[in-house]
Order: sequence, then structure tokens, then C-alpha cells
Amino acid sequence: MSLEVRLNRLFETYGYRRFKMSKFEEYDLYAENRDFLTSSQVITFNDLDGKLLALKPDITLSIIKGTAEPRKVYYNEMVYRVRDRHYREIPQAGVECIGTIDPYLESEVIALAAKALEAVDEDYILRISDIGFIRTYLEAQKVKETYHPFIIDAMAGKNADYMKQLAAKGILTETQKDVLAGLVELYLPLKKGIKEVRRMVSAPSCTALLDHLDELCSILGGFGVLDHIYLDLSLMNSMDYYNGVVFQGAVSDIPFTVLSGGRYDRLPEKMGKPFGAIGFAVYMDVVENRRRSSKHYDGDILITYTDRDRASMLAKTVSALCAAGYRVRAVRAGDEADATRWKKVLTLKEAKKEAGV
Amino acid sequence: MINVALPKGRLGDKVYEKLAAAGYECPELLDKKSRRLVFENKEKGVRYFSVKPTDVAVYVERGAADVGIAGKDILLEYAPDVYELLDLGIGVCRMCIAGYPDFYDDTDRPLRVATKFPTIARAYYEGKGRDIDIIKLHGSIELAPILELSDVICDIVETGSTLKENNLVVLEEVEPISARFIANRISWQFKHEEIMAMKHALEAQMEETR
Repeated sequence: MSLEVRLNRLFETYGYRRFKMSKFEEYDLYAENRDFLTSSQVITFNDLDGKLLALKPDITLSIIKGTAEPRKVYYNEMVYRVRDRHYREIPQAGVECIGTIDPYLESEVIALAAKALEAVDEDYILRISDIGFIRTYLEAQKVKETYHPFIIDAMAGKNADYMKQLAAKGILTETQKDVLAGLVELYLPLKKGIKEVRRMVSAPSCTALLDHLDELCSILGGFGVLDHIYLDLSLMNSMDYYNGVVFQGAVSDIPFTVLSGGRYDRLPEKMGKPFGAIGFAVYMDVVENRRRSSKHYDGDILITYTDRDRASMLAKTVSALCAAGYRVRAVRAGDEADATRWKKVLTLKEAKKEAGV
Repeated sequence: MINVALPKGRLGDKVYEKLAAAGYECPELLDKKSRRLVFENKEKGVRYFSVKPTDVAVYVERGAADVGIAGKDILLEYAPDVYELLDLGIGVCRMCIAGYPDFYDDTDRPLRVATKFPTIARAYYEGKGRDIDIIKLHGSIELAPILELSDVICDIVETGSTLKENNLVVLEEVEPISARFIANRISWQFKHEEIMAMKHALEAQMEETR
């Protein structure tokens, strides 16, 4: 079963409905919501009535735009984005849960992300974080605001030395430096991780965020996925897009992130919709491109025949082999150019014996 | 097994010495006559390969190497999606703007900047709100102002002797540069213990030399 089919089945099992859509979208949607796009480069063209259209660079925007009431949906579509300075068609699958998002719904989407990763490869890790945590800590500690973006960047790059540099300049106190450097390195199973962070940070605004993660942790336990979930507060998916819980998924065989998602209430809010949202996307292109092919053959038996062979006998043999579960191709002798791609190459006489005809 | 991309040359040799002292030795690597590209010590669970310094980040970003050693200049210029785990405090130099001592910045026209590092140069001047015309070169940058190809250069300055010999001086400092220990983001998760052990071993080595 292909990954696409397995993911669709998984999402449907949890009651998510497939969202099918056109590849076209009105360009205005992207012009108005530039903050929510990773790139402003979009393929555009005019419709016959002069309206400016675009090939979808993003699925979530279209889903939120077309949503008037709470819903759970999934998609498996193409998006059109710039990669390596060229436009590319990129397959993407994902899930969006829209409505009043409570801890159960958050956990359900995170659990689905974990199960989607498991469908890619059993050796997977899902890292989660609260995107506001570091900023909340910096605010609670009254660290100069001009340094917040730089500290957050250094966190995202796991650059603990930068914290030391700021401490040397007197921007961070020794304790703040130690806490931030500690958070940079922190990478533990969720439950243990939260406990560890509690030891390091005590500001009430931070503790509230940890309490929330703790609640998710206990619900995720109910979904049976906790073993693969790690806390990593350096995760900083796009800060403009997400608020609250964010997560990223990886499998050991692929050196790139294959799944990313989180809570994004700002987008529906900006579109004037009275609900929150959480979702994730699976980068199907990354998965498919990196997957080592386990296929060595096009099929099982290549039968070569000549004019001297009886066509009706050939038909009988091919049918018998197909019925026995073999993948069979019949070609005229001399046309078997890619014979190495078949497990066996047989003449009709040999094939007849194999089929027992 | 942890795959380490070392930059060819003096910096790579220096870092290897530190790694060897920390228990990640692979003696074959020191054989300068060898034309081999990959060196492995199965017992220590480490495999080294020497690549062009500018390529280290590519190997690490794409996961061919789990970790590597790259200059901050390369990280700033190419912004590879990797974790920057440790400032090794070696290979120390500065990214500078240099030109003739009597350089006068005529703000009526774009400043012509010759450099191997267009991204760094662009970001630096954008921060100052100065419009520039970038001239991307691959070497002998100092020649550009001499032949009036450019007004200034943006380049790495180590001792400053090349500048001096060509009658150029440092006009502004852009960024201090040193070698960094970098890691692939996914390897960091799946080979976490090995990578952190190597990081801490390097840190301990730095403490010792200090």
C-alpha cells in the first residue's frame, strides 16, 4: 500500500474528511495573507474574465477561507512553490482541525502526526515545544527586548555560545545564561523534559505553559504515542504563523524534517473566523525522494515468443501465470531490451512448463 | 557510527588533533601521502572524510555527514539548515570591509563591493541602509580596488598582511569569525548521545588548551 493511501486511511479512521480542491485560487488570498506564506513567490495567471488566479502555494489558507464552522479535514494535494530557484510541484498531505481547540483536540492532532510518522518509518521522533515559551521566559526575566529575536534565532540554531557572548556583554545574567544554554541542550522524552524545565524555570507565566504541556502529555499517553515524543524548546517553526504548541517530525533514514505543524489561531482570526485551528503537513516529496527503492524488478516473468509460436498457446500461458499471481510481460523475441529488469526471462516453451499448461 | 566532515587544510588538521586527543583517533588520517577520502575507526565508532571547507555545510545539511566543522563565514553566507553546537574558538579571524586608507564613501551612487561573500555583504549594507553593487569574485579579492573594479572589498582578515602588502586597510568590522561544530538536525535527534558526547569532548579539549 502506498504511503498516500495509508495516510488517507489513518486520517479517515480518526474521523477526518478528505478536502478536495482545485489547483487554482484567487491571487488576492495570498496578497492579503502574505505573513502566512513561506514565500511571496506565486505562479499567477489571468482567468478569461481578467481575474488574477494563482496555482496554490499553500493548502491551509484555502481550507480556512472556505470554512464557516468547526470541522476536521485532511488533504493530499499538490502545492506550487519555489525550490532551488525554480518553481516546483510538491505533493503535500496534512490534517487541519478547526473549531474551539481544547487540549484533547490538540493531543489528537499531535497523536495523528505521530501515527503518520510511524506510517513513514517505525523509527521516528516527534519533537514538540511551545513556540511562546522562550519569549515568555525572556519577558518574565525582563531581558532587553531588542535582543529577543537574536536569542530566539540562537535557540533555533542550538547555539549556546551566543548566550555566553551575551552574558559576557552583560545583557544576560549568569543565571539567565545558564538557563537558556540549558534549554538549548534540553532534549528529553516529553514527561521527563517538562519536569526538567520546571527545575530550571519558575516564573508563573512559564509554569502555566508547562502545565498545559503536562496536560497534553497525559492525553498523549492515552493515545499510546508518548514513547516517540520529545520535548525540545528550541523548535521555532515559523513564528508569524504559529502560536502555542508546535511540533516537527523526523525518521532516522531521512536527513530532513518530514512533518511539521502546530497551533495557528492567528490565521482564522485574521480572516474574521470565530475559531482556532491546529494542523500539520507531511512533506511527501521529501519522503518519496529519499526513500530507497526496494524494487529491483519490473516484474516476475518476461516471455519471449516468435512467429513460430502459437498465439493462442501464448495467451493461455500468460493467463495461467497471471492467475498464479506472477507479473508477466510477453514480448517478441528481439524486443526484450530491458530483460535485466525481470526476474526470469523465458521462451514460450519454458514458460509453458512453468505454468503447467 | 558517527560521520564527521572535516575541512581540508590547516583548520581540519587542528580540529582532528582535538578530536583524536578526545578519544576519536583514526591514525590513518595523518598519512599525508594517502589519497583516500574516507577514514574509519570502527572501534571508536567514527568515520572521517575531508572535504573542501565550503562544502562541509552541504554534507552536514543533507545528512551525508552527521557533524562537521565549518567557519562562521560559511554559515552566514550559505545559511545551511544545521545546528550550530559549539564555537571551537579556533580559526579565529574577522569579516571586514577593506579599502584604501583615504576611501571616501560617495553616497550619491551605489557602493561597489567586491567579495566572495555576497550574502554577508548584502545583509551588512542593508542593515546600514546603503545601496550596493555586488561584484562576486572567487579569489584575489584585494585586486579589485587596486584595478578600480570596486570601491571596497568584503573579505576575511586573519593577520592583515595581505591587505598591508597591497596598501589596503580595514575600514569596518562586519563580524568576528571562528570555526563551529555543526550537526545535521535529524542526526542530532537520532544519534543524540554520540553527537553530544563528541561536543562535550571537544569542549573539554578547549578547556584544557585554555
